[in-house]
Amino acid sequence: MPVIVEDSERANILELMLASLLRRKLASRGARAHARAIAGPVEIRAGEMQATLTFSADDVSISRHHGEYAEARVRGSLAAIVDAALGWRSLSHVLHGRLHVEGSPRVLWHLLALLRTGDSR
Amino acid sequence: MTTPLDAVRVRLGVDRVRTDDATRAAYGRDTTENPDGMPEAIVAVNELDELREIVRLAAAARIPLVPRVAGTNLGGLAIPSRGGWVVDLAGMNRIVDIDLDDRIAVIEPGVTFIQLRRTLDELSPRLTIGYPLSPPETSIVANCLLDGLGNLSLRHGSMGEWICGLEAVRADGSIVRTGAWAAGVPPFGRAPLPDLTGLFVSWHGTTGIASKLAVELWPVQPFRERSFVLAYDRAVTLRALRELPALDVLDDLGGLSWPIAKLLFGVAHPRERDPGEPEFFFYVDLSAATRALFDAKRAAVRDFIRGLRRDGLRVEDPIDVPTLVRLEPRLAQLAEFPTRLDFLLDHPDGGLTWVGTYGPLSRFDAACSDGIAVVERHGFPPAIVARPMKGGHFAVLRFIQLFRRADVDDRERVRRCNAELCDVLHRHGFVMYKTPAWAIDRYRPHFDPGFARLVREMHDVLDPDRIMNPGRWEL
Repeated sequence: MPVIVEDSERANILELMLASLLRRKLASRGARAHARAIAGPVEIRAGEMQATLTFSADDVSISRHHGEYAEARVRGSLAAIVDAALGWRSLSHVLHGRLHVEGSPRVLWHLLALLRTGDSR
Repeated sequence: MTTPLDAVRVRLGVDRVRTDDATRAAYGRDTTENPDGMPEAIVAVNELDELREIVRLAAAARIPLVPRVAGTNLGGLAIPSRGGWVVDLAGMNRIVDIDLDDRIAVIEPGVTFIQLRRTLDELSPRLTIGYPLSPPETSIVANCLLDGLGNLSLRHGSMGEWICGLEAVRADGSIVRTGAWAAGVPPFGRAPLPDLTGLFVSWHGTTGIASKLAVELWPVQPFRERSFVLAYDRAVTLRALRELPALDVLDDLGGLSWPIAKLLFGVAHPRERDPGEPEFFFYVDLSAATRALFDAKRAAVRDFIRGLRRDGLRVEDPIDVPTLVRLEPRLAQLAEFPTRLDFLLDHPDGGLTWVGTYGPLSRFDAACSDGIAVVERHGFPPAIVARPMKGGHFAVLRFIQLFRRADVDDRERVRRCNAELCDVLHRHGFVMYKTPAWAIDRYRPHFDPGFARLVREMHDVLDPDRIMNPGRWEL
């Protein structure tokens, strides 16, 4: 499943990090199933950077535009977002207020499951 | 009639003398914007006696000699500006001695960083040399003699200072040894004899060709970590570069600007910075012999970062390299020494150059800001690598330019940019190292007349016929 960074020469490093990570995650069939199940935009904010991941049946596109119609939103410090992106300590960060999530529980569940696939440690 | 090159062929064999156009052209250029040259021949030497004889033959016929190993310096210093012979020293690559007790290696000029690394890994993994941000095939001797820097330069200064003594072939083919080595003892240091080693450091091969060099090694500590801190504006990183050395707990500290980060992520032409993303990153290297000492050092750095936040500065928590590598495997280049640097060396545009300077840390911010304005005016992203050196007594500030080397107009654009950068940074007290000939021309009006005269007189003494890398340090 391709991961497309829109306007990659102007992409911020959050977009670039997520693109690199997702390209490797999505090599797994299980991760692709979760990605297809998300089926919509998810907004990620790390510190002052923003990236919107838009999941479709065929690909994932990444832009830094505001995810106005995002199905879910995740925000936190870069360190907390990096941990979550690697599938680490997400629940702990949420419980301790380092990571803030909102939106569809179904989308958040699939996003978390997607990020936890593969060898992240 | 027998020519000098015929004599070289007789001495070395025809295979080690190359005169075909393609090879001569390849040895006449590098990745920089400096004008190409065209040597008459490339002569590969493997032994000291061969080197001496080549120098004697060249001296007799007044043929210019340009020493070269990898040719990766960004000053254009291995380009033969007056023709002659390129002396390819890659085959003089013996590690002559590694003294594990005194932690000194004696090496020939063809020894590369990766070669010494592999040898140390086998022989004594607890010893290391400092590694530059250069390709693994870079010559250690060249980087020391050109006074480059490495990942231990925050502690130990520029690499010229790591030299304990050397052996060089002079322009008449004679040999000189410097440092304590000159007294017939092992090369433990430049003291306590008259320091003639300096006659060969940063002289760009104009005073002789080093045939052996003794260089310091350092212990590898069992507890170590490199971590990155993302800072949302450059003032934070520049403050960290100024103030962190005073803690006296770091092995290395450096700052990278946003275009470097994007190149590392595989973006070949980073165009602009998202206002929300960090402008600069700084990395912090810690190591210690014990866990307790390591934890104490780490705590000191974390306290410093908390202090930045208390002052209202926007900075993220440190992220260690293993974590970053899980996000993007290419970031391993930031922690593996010697490093590959494919994002610079294999760039599709083919041109890589810089204005790399040493200068006072106290003037870092102004120099950096004015330098950024220059490169942006010329249409380049501000790709900066900066480090404090020698405990913070001075700093390195480098502006790196990637350009379309095959495009004459782009080469001219980068020339104009670098010339302006050179002048602007000089006004802030920053002077180019591995100083290209064009930069020496720009510094000429500023040089102390006594310095310029002494340089000329040293050349009169050491190389009266000016056969040793002519075109360099002509004052």
